[in-house]
Amino acid sequence: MATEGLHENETLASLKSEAESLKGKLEEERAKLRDVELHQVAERVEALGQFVMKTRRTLKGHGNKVLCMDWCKDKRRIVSSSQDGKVIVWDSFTTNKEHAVTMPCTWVMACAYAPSGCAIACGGLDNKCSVYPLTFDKNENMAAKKKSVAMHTNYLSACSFTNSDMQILTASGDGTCALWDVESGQLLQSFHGHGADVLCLDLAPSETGNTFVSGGCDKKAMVWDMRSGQCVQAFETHESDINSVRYYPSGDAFASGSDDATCRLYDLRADREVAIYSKESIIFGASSVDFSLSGRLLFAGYNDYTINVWDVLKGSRVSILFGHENRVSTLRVSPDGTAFCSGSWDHTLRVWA
Amino acid sequence: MSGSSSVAATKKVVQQLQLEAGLNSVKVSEAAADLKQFCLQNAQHDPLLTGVSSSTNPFRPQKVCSFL
Repeated sequence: MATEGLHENETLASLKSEAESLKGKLEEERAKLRDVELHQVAERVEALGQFVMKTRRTLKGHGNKVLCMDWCKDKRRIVSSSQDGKVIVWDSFTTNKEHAVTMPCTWVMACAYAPSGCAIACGGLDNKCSVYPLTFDKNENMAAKKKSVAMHTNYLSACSFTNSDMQILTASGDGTCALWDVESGQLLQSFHGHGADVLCLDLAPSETGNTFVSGGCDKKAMVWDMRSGQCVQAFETHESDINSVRYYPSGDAFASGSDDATCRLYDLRADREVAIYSKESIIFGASSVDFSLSGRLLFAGYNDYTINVWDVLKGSRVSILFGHENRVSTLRVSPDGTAFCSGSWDHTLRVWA
Repeated sequence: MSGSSSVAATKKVVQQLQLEAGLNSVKVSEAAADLKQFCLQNAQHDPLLTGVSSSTNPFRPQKVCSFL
């Protein structure tokens, strides 16, 4: 009826204007807190010296682009996944392959090691996240013990076990994140809010509580409460897809890497971006980021085949690492901070120290 | 009706913004000082920052000793 339609239009218009005024108020409040820049606070901090970081191990064996990798808590084993559908577990000290499984799909975009070191999770174009227990019994076929845990309606882009082997957090091209019980495959919580594919996620360090951050093709980074499913903070300053997010070791901030060729640092307590890591000469997207143990260094892998090392406090680049012969797609610092591993479209993984 | 679903969607946006507006945030100077403090306090325990010697870093090559 004509009068009902008119009423609805008024409600919609008034809601929209309320949304706009709230956004304006948020911007105003955020601007007031911006009394200083991070690099200014760090002016008196001693500059970092020269870094000598080299490739110490090269892991060869994948038949196509390496898309994802994760370290085991034992600081030596690594799981990696590739476009060729293979998931391999390596001993990074010896470079030996300890396990290998072929997934029923290509583009295995996500993989993760269980905290116990006894299982791995992976998925990609199959829209699922599956868990494989790791067995040293030569007679056992790893693929036979596969357990399908998560089901999305589009590709799986990222997965991570929570503090135990019992729960997995997933991110998907369907625009959502989800928390699953591994044993039953039950959906425990879903997280809606991204306006496009979610590409990455990272869990807050355990001391900080039950939150995680996700980044997506909608250029937004969102922080979620795992219990309620609620988005508690959102940041929209990147100019393109956010490919990687990683918490600062204290849990009070997180870094992001984006197709806009910048990495940024967002402080959760100040509720704003506090640093941008960029250079005019860097024009290719950053695909993956991770912090060194103290949070002073930010390692970022780029689509121009390089890895840039940034001084988190001063905002300057301290080193540029060459070696990969194609895009760097994934990068993680080892659990004890003695090395970091990068995976690339050049089919290899490199351990740097 | 398409009208009511966009009203519902916009209502959600408003609720989310109200939630975010209610946050008690700290000044950047304070937050940045804490980040700096954390870095400096943990610097000596950061192997990639300090450059751990070959004997303690499993990835760095061991120097070979030869007895004369």
